[in-house]
Amino acid sequence: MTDTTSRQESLGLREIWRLSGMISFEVQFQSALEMSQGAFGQSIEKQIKKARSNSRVNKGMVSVFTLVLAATFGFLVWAALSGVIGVSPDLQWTTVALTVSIFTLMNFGFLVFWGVMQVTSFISSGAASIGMYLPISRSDASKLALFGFIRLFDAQIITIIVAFPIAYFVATFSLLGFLSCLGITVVTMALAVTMMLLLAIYFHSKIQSSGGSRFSTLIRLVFTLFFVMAIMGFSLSIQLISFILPIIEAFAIALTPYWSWLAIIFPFSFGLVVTQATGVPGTPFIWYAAVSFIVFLLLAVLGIRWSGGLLSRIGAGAVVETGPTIIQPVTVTVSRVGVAVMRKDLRIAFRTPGQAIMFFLPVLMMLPFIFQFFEGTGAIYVMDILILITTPATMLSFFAIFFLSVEARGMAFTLTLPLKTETILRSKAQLITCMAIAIPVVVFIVSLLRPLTSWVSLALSVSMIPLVYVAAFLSLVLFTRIIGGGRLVGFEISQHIGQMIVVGMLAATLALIPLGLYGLTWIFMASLGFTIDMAHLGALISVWLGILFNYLLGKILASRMLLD
Amino acid sequence: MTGRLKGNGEPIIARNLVRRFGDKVAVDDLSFHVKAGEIYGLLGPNGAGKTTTVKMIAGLLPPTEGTVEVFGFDPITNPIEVKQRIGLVPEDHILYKSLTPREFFDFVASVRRLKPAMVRQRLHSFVDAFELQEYFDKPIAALSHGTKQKISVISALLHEPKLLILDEPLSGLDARSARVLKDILNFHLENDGGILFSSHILEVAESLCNRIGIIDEGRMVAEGTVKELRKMVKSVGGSLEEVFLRAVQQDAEVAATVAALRRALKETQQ
Ligand SMILES: Nc1ncnc2c1ncn2[C@@H]1O[C@H](COP(=O)(O)OP(=O)(O)O)[C@@H](O)[C@H]1O
Ligand SMILES: [Mg+2]
Repeated sequence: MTDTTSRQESLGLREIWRLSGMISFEVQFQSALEMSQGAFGQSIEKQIKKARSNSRVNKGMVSVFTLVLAATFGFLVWAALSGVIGVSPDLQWTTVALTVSIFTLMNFGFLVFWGVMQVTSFISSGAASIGMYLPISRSDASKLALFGFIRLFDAQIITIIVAFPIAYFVATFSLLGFLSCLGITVVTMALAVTMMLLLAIYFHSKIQSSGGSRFSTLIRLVFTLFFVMAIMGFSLSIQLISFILPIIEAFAIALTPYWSWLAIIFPFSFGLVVTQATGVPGTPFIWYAAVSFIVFLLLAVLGIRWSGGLLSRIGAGAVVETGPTIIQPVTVTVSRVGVAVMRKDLRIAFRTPGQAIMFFLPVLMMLPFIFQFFEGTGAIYVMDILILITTPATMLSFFAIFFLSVEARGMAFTLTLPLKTETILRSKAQLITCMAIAIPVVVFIVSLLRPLTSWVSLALSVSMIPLVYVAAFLSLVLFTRIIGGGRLVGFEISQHIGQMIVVGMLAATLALIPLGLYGLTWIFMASLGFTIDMAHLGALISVWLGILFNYLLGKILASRMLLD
Repeated sequence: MTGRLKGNGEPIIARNLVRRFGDKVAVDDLSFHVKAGEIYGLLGPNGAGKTTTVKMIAGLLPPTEGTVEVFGFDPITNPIEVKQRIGLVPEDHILYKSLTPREFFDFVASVRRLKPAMVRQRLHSFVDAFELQEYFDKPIAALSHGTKQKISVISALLHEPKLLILDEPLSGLDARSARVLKDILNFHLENDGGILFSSHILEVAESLCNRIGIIDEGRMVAEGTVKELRKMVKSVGGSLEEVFLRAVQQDAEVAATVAALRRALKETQQ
């Protein structure tokens, strides 16, 4: 700090690293603070400590997760090349190229997704623009902003850049393969950073400008969908890992004639470059794959340079332009209390990417099963449908209490209104129930592709709607009793994870009971010699009885446990 | 407390309120009452316990000891009745950031079961008075501090509450809007409403309130009309005067600190 005005010495890498760490922590702290504002009786010092440890825990978890992914990647490449899984030799190169491409896309998508969740708070916190106000050169200021941003995901990026090339090397023992894999991974990370910024700016300017118009609602929805797809693709691949190679192989066969086209496109050109560098036998030399890679490399370099400057300016308010506002007449729509509360929750949830994704959770969890349905032929049995719908129904029941925090800080306002605790809890349960609507819809779509053996399948899937509602409400009541003594209080999720898991498990179990009753009743009736149709009908009735039981239990608990 | 009084009692009767946070005593044996048709000012420095007191009255925080009655209702056992009768402007505007004011008022009006025609009319006049038209469809997150404050004030007034509780409402309002707010408060008083007003600025309390309670470290150190208080400060001297100064003249203290800082900086120059 000696005499900074006379000489503009540029910052050393070490200084930048240290300062950017502070910036990135500030951002994390602010968003954590935001989330916990509803919590009473928390000292700020405690919150800072907690934010620090939370960020470490998160980073650790993400790294472990990335390592598992990298190991899977290595295993798949090794399996394809060594022939253990029986990939025919002439298909080896496509399979490897495709595997590399898929994982590249996954790393890209996951990082972009993760990034956009945080980038909005990065921009609104203004921490990035700190360099603009310091007596340092512009390029240093932009480096500071860029690093501050990247360091939000440093653990993840570093793990990816280290683990994937090493996994690839272990699988192939090819030095050139290792180097090319390292190359494409670094370029992919740079592209991802640029991409998330582009999206974030877009999102930010949309949030800042008129929120009421149809158009921006649409844009927000499209934006949300984009991220839902990213995470869906990601978690799907995780679930499919056991039978991923046959699928890749099937794709590889299907794609073989199109490689000459694919070779231009990210991520396929990347996959092909690595395969070529590794020298997998039979790999055709598609020179424009290399050209395409170089073009993307240049784009990445430009993108990164642009990103740094942009980041440091955004925080200072330079880039974001808001559209003109059209002044609408002052009116209000007064509706029933329950409807109003739920509409408010829906609006808030859909404007937060992290929460909007939850609406696609059921579909996400049903996808692997649906893939299995594609492979089979003939009519689908009721038991198969039962298995298909059990996971989303129990998972939604499990997650219900996490939606107590939909409104985050807003909870403190909700509590000032003359609303019964029960009304608020019911509206949260309804929110979860909205997500359960996807269950019968998916079953219906499945029934269009392959016939169902019985109408009971559809009736059963529709029953998941009240089932989820009832289980969700029950768990909300219990949780409110446990943490607030029967009164809603603002709370911070990270403080109550233990209780949430216990209550969530309880709710999932309650949701499972009617489904278990289905199986038991069916077996019982079938063994008594009833026809299969009768047995299904009887079993369906016991599901409803189970739901009714849970419903009554919820009513009783609500009147006993809630204070107002 | 008697059943006869429920709904008709005095706007606020607080008796021997105590609130602890762990070892910290935020409010310590505080008693006061607010009558219909008066503005009662809670005056005290930052950290005196004003916000904690307000939260206990509004049914957001149970007292550790003591009781509160709002129109005869206990805010803890009858929160709904209490919340229906009060309009609260909290210290930090806790609004839903991603909603627009329009969506926010939809929500508040619906939850309070207000008649659409009445809401429309009231909202119109408030929005005009506070010049809010152009912000009506912007997400609350994108609004300035003062604009959020206005929205908070309107949402507290929408249902014509019999008791208004305002926790440092003038912070962030420009001169014009502060003036509008004062007019609204006067109108409210003329209709026999009660107002509890907290502030750390003497001038504000002086110009607005009928009676003032000065609190420091959670305790009531003096109470009365502005005139009475002035007299008291002069006659007692010593500790009360000190507290009064701390409560109301932090500005002077700050000025002194700034002056000292300026001197120190000057000395280090060259
Ligand atoms: N949730 C809380 N946890 C711990 N201490 C608190 C909490 N809320 C308030 N306090 C403490 O109680 C005292 C009074 O706070 P507050 O009522 O906010 O004062 P005021 O509104 O007069 O500035 C302060 O010392 C504050 O630190
Ligand atoms: Mg306060």
